Amino acid sequence: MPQLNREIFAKTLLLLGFMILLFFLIITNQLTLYVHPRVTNFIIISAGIILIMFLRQCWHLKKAWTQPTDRVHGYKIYWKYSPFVLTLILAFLLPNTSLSASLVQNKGLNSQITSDVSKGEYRPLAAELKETNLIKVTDKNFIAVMSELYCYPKEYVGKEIEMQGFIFKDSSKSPDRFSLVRYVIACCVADASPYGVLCEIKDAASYPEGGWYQIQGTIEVNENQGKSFPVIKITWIKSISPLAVPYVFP
Amino acid sequence: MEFSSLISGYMQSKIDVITWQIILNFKTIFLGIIIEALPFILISVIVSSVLHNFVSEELIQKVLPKSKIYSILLACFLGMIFPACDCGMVPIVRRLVKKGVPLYSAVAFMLSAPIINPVVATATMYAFNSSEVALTRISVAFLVAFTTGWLTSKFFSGTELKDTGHSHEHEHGHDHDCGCACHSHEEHTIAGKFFNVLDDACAEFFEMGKYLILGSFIGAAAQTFIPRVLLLNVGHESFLSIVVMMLFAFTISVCSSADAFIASSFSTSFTMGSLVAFMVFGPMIDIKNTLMLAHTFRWRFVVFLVVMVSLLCGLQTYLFI
Repeated sequence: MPQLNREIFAKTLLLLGFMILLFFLIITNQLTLYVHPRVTNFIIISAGIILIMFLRQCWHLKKAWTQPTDRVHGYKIYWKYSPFVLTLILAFLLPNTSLSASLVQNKGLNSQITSDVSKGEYRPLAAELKETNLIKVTDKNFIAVMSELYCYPKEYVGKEIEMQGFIFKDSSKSPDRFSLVRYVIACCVADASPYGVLCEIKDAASYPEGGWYQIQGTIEVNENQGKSFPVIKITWIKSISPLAVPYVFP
Repeated sequence: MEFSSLISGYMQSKIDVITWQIILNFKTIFLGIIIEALPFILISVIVSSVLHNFVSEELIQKVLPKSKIYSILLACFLGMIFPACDCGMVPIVRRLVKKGVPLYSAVAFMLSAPIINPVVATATMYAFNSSEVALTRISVAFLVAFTTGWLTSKFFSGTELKDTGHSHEHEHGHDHDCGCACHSHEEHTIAGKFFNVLDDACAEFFEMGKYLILGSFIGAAAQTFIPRVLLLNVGHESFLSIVVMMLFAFTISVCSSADAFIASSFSTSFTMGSLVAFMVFGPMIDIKNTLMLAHTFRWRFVVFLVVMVSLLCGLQTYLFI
């Protein structure tokens, strides 16, 4: 009597689900919303391995259809596989997004800037930046520029800067200021670290937190409790659509 | 996918934006950890299955050094040629012990391989911009792994493996771990062995994968919901900072190559000792691992392992750094 072996069927479906999830993320270029791009090849290989396992389970399913093998009775199956089902449900039902501005508070803005930079040992871009009057911040130089500004703001006073990012408002700062921030990802989103600069503009409150903007401005220095920090006086601001690749990957 | 944007629209009308953002952040981190760890878990269950099907107990007995001390020492440095992520250790270690590798060597390997390997050493150097930190991390890890292995050899003589209800041994030592379609006779063809590897790997993936998912769930929750301010308050006290960092390492589930970056993010507020404790304790013992270990080994051994590693790690970083 043909029977559907419940356990093999569950495994088949779950493997199929994970396979579809991975291929979907890879094809729609949304994988970088979760992990560093250098891992992409590993993920492709993983999806391939899952595909092979899926095909093998299909074979078992077909075999068990006509020759029923020992089945696990009862409801133990549901405990064994529920975490996988939960994962797939969360993955497919909720949209793929980038981390929001609200996490900046939790992770600590600019907390990642290493002590060696502030000690003056690791400043790769210092010479180049000293020459230019307009600093264009790109994905490639993002971390270096942010570190330089954070540790040696006085050296950049008067220079123009152009950068993109999303808005983060620290409630403890004054109302005509916000920070323009981007997340830097070393390995996967779990280690995402926000880097950003304080910006000053007249009606800062009207700009929504989390909104993406491109700005141009002049670098100034302020002091707070003996430490100098950079502030960008915004001369030009434009709203942009959220970047397709919102994170910076060193 | 249009379906998820429908859900998104519906939810945004029901709950406020902040809560929705928090839920999405949680989902992103949760899925991110799982996707990042997926290749490592898959590779490790395949390695474990290959070991099971292709490497015999006799071969292992021949290769292992006879002396306990050398065996443990070798195990500590095996990670240099066999780097592993801590997500994938338990299936491999279980397989090694079943194949006749003494428990103390397997334990030393399990504790050291996720840290004493070129990938993690490089990541640590990169994250802290200093080779001193990387060396400290490796030395502490080595001492903890070696001492735990040596103590294991003194206190435990058997395999300490749990006998799960539905695994049974055939005469030729082949066993399957849960109710998959059973291959009831030994395979002699390469193709047959290949399919056995596939089946074993699949079964083990489902068995261990659920702990990865559980660990990622807790790790993502810890990241999304624990405010950083709480952590910062204890950062400068020499003893409390170590305890807090070890607890933190236990709950957040990140791979041993990524935890260096997380640790360096606290370098301005926490003592170096606590950061090294974080980087040594996390890959050895965390929620994911402990759940997998409790599933694999007897309770008393798991308790011993957790307590021993915690003590050694905490004491070393407190006294020497």
